[in-house]
Amino acid sequence: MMEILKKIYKFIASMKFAIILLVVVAIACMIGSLVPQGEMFDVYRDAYSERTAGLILAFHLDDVFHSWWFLVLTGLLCVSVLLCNITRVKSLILETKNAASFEHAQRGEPQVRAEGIADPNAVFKRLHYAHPQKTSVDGKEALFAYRNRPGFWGAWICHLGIILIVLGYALGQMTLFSASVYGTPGQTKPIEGTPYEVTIDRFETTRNEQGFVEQYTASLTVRDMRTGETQSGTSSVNHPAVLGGMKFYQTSTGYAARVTIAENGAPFESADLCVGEELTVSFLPGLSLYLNAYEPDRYGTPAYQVLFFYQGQHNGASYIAPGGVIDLDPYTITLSEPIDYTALRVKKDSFAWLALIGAVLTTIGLFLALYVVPETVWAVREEDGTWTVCGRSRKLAPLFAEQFDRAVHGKPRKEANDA
Amino acid sequence: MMQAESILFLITLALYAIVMALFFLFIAVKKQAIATLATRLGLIALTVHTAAIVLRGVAMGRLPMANQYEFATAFAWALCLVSLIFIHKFRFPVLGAFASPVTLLLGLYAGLQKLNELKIIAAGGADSIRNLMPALRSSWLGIHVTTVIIAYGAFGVSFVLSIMFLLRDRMKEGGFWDLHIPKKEKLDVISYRSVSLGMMFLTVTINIGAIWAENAWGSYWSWDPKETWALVTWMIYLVYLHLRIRKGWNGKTAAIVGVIGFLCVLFTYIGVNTLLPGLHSYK
Ligand code: HEM
Repeated sequence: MMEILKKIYKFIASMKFAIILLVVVAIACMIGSLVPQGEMFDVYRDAYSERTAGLILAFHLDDVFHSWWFLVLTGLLCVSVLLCNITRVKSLILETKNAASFEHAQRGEPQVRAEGIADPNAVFKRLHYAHPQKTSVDGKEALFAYRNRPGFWGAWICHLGIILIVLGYALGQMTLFSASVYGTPGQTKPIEGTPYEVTIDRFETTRNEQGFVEQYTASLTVRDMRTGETQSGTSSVNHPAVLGGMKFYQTSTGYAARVTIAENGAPFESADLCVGEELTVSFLPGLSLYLNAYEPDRYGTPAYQVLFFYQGQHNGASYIAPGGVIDLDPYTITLSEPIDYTALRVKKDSFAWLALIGAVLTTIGLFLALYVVPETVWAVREEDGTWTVCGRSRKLAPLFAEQFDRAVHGKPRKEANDA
Repeated sequence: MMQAESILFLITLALYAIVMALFFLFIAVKKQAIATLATRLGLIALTVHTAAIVLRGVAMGRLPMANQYEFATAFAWALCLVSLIFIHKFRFPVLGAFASPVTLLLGLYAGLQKLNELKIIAAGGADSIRNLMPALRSSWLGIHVTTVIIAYGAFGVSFVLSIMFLLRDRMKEGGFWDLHIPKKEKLDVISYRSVSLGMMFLTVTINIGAIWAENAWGSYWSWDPKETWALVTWMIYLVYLHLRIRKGWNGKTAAIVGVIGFLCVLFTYIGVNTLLPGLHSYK
């Protein structure tokens, strides 16, 4: 039993498993981007075939990135990396220690070796080792130098970083708070699911000379309804506001109309209605109007499209010009010139910092693994007074051999492509 | 200014073609002087290309890396830059003979995109090319696209090296490529260096993209197709890195993964914008 568990452990922590998993996750990602996500059966049936559509739904290919099997794969990847890291700690400590030991360097075959060297210090210098350690072996004088030991830990740090990213993302997704709020300047809206409400103090669109939008900026005030405390700030594209511990993103904008209701010409009710919103009127229970669209150029003139509902039933649509009046004698409903409304996304991800730390570690680890390559060089003085110089590079043997060769010969060789 | 840019771009293409011809000649006659000339001319081509890109930026009044033409020409530029660096650093002129055709092809692809753009301008759409949507008006854009361009250039070089490796692998001892291409071990290790460079920059690109997305959309990762494909590319090259350090690994497998990785790069860059919908297509 223990034997089998050990074998499974070993396999999961193995590089082979890592490679297989990476390939499988990569293929899953490809599928997730090639198959349109989040569609209904009919859409897949029309795009592919009845059978393919069935398969897509059966295997959750319509929502790959949230499917149980994708989660299992990423989970396995993390477990695998974690086990790999745990298993490797001991040998990494040993390797790091050994890399600073002349005795250890001497054991085993060197990668490169040059005999009959008169001035080993010059070779060391050309390899950019300024002060090799003076030591001795079997009563012979010796020189020893090493560098880039942090490189041993690159992969380990990288693996740790990946675990933190996945963990941070998973925890973040599980505890994510996200809501959307939209409104026109002056409106106050509750932020659903929180004890806060937000007032849109101002909303501005900045355009350049050619009329292209450069920036949308909303000035916001958030009020804690429990304490009455308020906090203000501005949110523009690329610059979210942080208020009440939540982030407010400027996500989009659209048209709204100020709806004014009057009785016999005397206004008694007014509200801003965004495109896509419904207004229930007070004077006639059961009647509501829905602002379906604003068309800046409908047959040459601007118009709102308004749908009417009576007791939940669709009851006609009409186009009304800005400033136009809907007559429901003795009541009138007037729609103003269009106003810009702002759509904000409100979000709180309590674990983004963890993913960020993971990302930083992954990057640092990658740099250490790829660019801080451990290397050892040593020289022993032979009986005839000349030196034998040897060296070893952890990962770049062929390049190191060329560098070593140049250092030994004291000059760059003209053509290295036949090396 | 737009016209000056177009002229410089055409000169760049012509220079790339000449550089390629010179590198081919170098392979044929094996005279080091020709390789030196080709490399120097390559440097001049890169300078002219840089000037073209800078002029474009001035003409547009923004960073010139925001549409298909600009990105394609920058891709060719980065491939030329990284190839020249690798030729110099690893004393490796033969690389030029294989990298220059790919650079020229990318340049020609950019030319095609430019023709499309000229059509749009002729139809009165110049302003839509000049102006960026608000989400793109961010200082992150500059770092994000610069790092990704370098990554793509580096992956381009590793693609070229992988192809060289596979050619060399197929040929009998003493055959034509055997005489002209360095040993497999060297091709492999230099390919590893270019993948390393690409991975570093791609990792930074993805991180910066995530930070930017968090600021712009409130979500640092949303599985948008471009994001997803950048991750796929990243994972493929991760497979490459892991394959290389396996005991008893085989350089040929790594070279094949190197080729697949670059196909992913091309898909991430061209395929996603043309075939898949998402935040990054900015239509
Ligand atoms: C799926 C499970 C994984 C396992 C079991 C695994 C295992 C390993 C092992 C044993 C090494 C060699 C360590 C060394 O040379 O010191 C390694 C290297 C490395 N791993 Fe992983 N790995 C996995 C996934 C990943 C992932 C997801 C990443 C992404 C950050 C990653 C990044 C690296 C890097 C950068 C190296 C160094 C490559 C080089 O030196 O060229 N690994 N991995």
